[in-house]
Amino acid sequence: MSLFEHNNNKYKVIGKDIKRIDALEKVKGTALYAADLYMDGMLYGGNVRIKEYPAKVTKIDTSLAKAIPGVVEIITCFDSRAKKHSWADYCYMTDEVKFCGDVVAIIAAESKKVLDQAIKSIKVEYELQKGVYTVEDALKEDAPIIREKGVGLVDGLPSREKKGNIFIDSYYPVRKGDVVEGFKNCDVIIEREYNVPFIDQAYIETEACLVYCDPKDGSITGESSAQNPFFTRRYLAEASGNTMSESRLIQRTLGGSFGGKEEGVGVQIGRAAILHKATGRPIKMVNSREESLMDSSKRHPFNFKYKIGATKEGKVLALEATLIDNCGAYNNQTQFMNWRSSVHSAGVYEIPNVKTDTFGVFTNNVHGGAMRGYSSPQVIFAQEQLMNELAKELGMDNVELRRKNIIRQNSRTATNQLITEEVILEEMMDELLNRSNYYNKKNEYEEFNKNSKSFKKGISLVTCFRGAGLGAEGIDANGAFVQATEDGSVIISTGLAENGQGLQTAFAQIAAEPLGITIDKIHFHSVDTHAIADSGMTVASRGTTMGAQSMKKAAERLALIIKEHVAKKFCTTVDKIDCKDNYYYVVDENFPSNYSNEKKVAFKDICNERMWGGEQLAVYEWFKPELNDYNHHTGQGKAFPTYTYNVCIAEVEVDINIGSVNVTKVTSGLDCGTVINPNTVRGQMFGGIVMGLGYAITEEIELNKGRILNDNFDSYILPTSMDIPEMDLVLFESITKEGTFGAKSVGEPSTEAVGAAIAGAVSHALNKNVDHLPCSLESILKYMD
Amino acid sequence: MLNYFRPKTINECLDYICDDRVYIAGGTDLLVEMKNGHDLSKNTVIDLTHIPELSGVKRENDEIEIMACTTHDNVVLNKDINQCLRALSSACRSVGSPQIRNMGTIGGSVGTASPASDPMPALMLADGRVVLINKKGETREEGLEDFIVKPGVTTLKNDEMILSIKVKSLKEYKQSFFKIGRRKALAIARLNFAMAILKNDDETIKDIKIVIGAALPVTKRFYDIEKMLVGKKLTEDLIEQVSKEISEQVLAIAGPRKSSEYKIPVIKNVVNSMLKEMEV
Repeated sequence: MSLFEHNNNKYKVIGKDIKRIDALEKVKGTALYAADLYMDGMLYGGNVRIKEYPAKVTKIDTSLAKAIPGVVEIITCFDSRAKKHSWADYCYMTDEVKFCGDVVAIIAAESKKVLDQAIKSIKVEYELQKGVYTVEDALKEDAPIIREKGVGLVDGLPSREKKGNIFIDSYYPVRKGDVVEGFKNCDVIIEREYNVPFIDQAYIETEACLVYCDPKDGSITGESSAQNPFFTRRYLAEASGNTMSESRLIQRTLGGSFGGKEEGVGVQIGRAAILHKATGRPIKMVNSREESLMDSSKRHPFNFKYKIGATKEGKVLALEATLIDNCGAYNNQTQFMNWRSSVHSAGVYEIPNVKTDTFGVFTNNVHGGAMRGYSSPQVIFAQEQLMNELAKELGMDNVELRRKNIIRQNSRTATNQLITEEVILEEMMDELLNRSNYYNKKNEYEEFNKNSKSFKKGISLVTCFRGAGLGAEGIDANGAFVQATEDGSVIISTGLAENGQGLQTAFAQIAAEPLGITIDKIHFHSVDTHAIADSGMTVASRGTTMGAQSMKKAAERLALIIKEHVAKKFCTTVDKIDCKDNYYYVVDENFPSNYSNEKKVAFKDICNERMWGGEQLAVYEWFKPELNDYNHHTGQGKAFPTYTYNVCIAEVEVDINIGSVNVTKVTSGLDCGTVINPNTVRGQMFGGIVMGLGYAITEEIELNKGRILNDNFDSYILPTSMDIPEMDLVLFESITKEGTFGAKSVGEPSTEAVGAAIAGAVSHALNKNVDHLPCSLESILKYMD
Repeated sequence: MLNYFRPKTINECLDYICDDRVYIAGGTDLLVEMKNGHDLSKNTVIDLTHIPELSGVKRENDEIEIMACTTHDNVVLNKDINQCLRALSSACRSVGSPQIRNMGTIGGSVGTASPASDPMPALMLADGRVVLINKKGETREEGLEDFIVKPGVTTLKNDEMILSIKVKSLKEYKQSFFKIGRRKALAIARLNFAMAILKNDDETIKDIKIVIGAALPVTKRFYDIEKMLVGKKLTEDLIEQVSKEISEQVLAIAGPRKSSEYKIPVIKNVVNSMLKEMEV
């Protein structure tokens, strides 16, 4: 059995319910968020936008605003000091407004009140242009071209031979076997279409930064709500014109990010840097909720077209699909995200013939970007609904169809990657079926539905997997620094960032384990780009599984140094030394679990000795994984070093009179590889379920010609505590040689299957194919027509 | 310059009333409007939160008077309202969140004249009348249906303020309130319904009241249908007919809008099921 057990004695600190080391200041309210920062002489920075798009700005009249006392600086897109394009596609400022977030001028003022007044006093003249807002319209032959770099379709596929609105860098084909032959041998073939909307990460803290010149060394310094401090530094350096070494980014406590505080905080800090350069004064910028919704990236909407075929026994032989996402007007994410979509486009199933094409399309909307799951919540929804439809067509049980096709050890994925590791997916399915009483409930609900006119009940199981870390999307390298001090306390730092996911605690556990010290001895120094090397982004649920590898290496090397010291002291060899609870001791072979009182020494005493003896007490390590052999033209090869497997069962009650969906229970099972901190995993899973519930039932960015209609949380509907269902979580462990201490990803897998499971349960309740999200009041009523 | 007054009595309050007055009671609407750019700098703000006599519920026989600054939460907790107008207790319990129910007032929710007000259907169910007082201390009463002209507009004059809402006890009636929102709390009503029924010994209808909110610019009570039902038994056919008739009436008034696609069939479904539940 691979169920996680609490009293596993394999580790000293790993796998234990260690209290979060950053919890206290958050609970007490003393944690400093970027918006909490103030400085003498500080100015408030803000943005001027127009309300219709796309448009060509012809004139900006700043005279009224300039006359307001307290307005210090106004830089329009026509100003020679204006920096327009950023390195990452998005604009700091522009006279060619392509979407609602584009900024035409920036202002610095003595107070927030004056700033707001000044923004309103700017008169912008512009010529409105013809816009394109949907994927369908953007792909039409006569559609206006939104971006110079856009390409067109030739024979239904993106091609550089023609102009159009396709973002060619985001095109990823997968070609495995021969689908034409595959479909010939199928007894049943179905085709289905699915689509999903833009949704927002909806973090509590909106984007904020403070940019100033560090009087100590002249570095331009940004303190920011950045998910990826090194990426944000890139914008800071570019906009200020400073070198990277003279641009410093300090990450402040984050009030949520989920992939959202990447490009948005980048362009924000760039604008602040431009104002800082012009005024020489500290600039603070804080987005309002409305600005945050306009300017920050969203989860990509997708249009899915799927065709799947199987034998009458239920063996899937072929799958063909087109996955097209709406990129918005600018984009620096779809080209990475779509690779992940393509790898997972055939689900967690072994299918001999797969042909899928995934690409993004430019429109005059807000851009799609990263949001917890990075395309998986969308793809799994479509893919799993497709499997339910196939089961229906075959007259087969949904779960049995999955059982016949799931990836097991020695299976080959859609990218033809041979899975050599242990796969516990079937065991997980059985455990969850059993725990949730799935089959009894399924029968009970179907019986109930026969007699009930107003209420319908449903239950559904979803299976999926997720490549852990960046895989062949990038290089999963990272660095960490571990320094012990003379009193036995230890400072750890890493290029990866705490974004609320519990990274500090997990990394502290990973450092404490080899060092044999207790967690209270560790201080986690959060990211300051002047203090640690760029370790890439904290994304893709890579923090613990891949990003902590260097931390483990560094802690192990320091532990070895200490052990050598102790071995010398007791005239023995390193292999005889072990450590635990802040002591290093000589292992007594007769009593391996105990340590003798005579032959032990406190970690702090060794540290003290070494410090005054001029011996090394700090270690910096770098980790670079083996490169994956992957062909991006065929979509074939080793995509990821390891995969997290996931099973989710949702139960719903639908009031068909009014169209409301009540999610009554979610049972979620996750293959964590090794559980580092069970409480943190559960926290991720609870939050992931609620986030998935919002995606399934209520959340949708409503757009009218690119304008966001629901730009605050009164109309953008997130679930509240009243909407949260009963949740049953099951943690599994499996054997993998990849991942820090064998840990797999948790953050994104926790949410990615939930929307699909709820949609599946609604489909079961209504006996309809739910083909889009969210399952809003209106859409449920339409299914019943 | 903004003028701000915080009177302690109604009489003192009347002194401050002037043409540019703005009242603040719970602030659950005003503060949102201010955030959205409503500039109060040329207004006189009269803060009603410190006038004890403007809050509370009085009952005299079959008449209940809810003072304007009674919060939703205090309505929910009030015994007289629980006994005599349970539909209003439910309605006030469905408003926003605990924070909003602790701040928002019944007078404010009437004065704002939102078509999606949750208490409104229950107040109209009980023949609600608004009591207004002017600067001179003169009072007048007006039925809620007349007081509310259209969304955000009432007959309140510049020199007036809302004193209270008077409702009739429906103690003998079977009552219900039902709200449709996009989530279970902090939801603006997509539609809301209030009904009350009183039967004769022979199971025929002695009196019935049907109100629907958020369907039309002003919450609507269906007097003609109510009248038609008196003396009849609520058979399945009749329920079917009534729910159809009500949804058609709403469609006729509202016209074919985008939201009608959802609202019209749902009105029919909900009226149908509420009437059936009341019949049980």
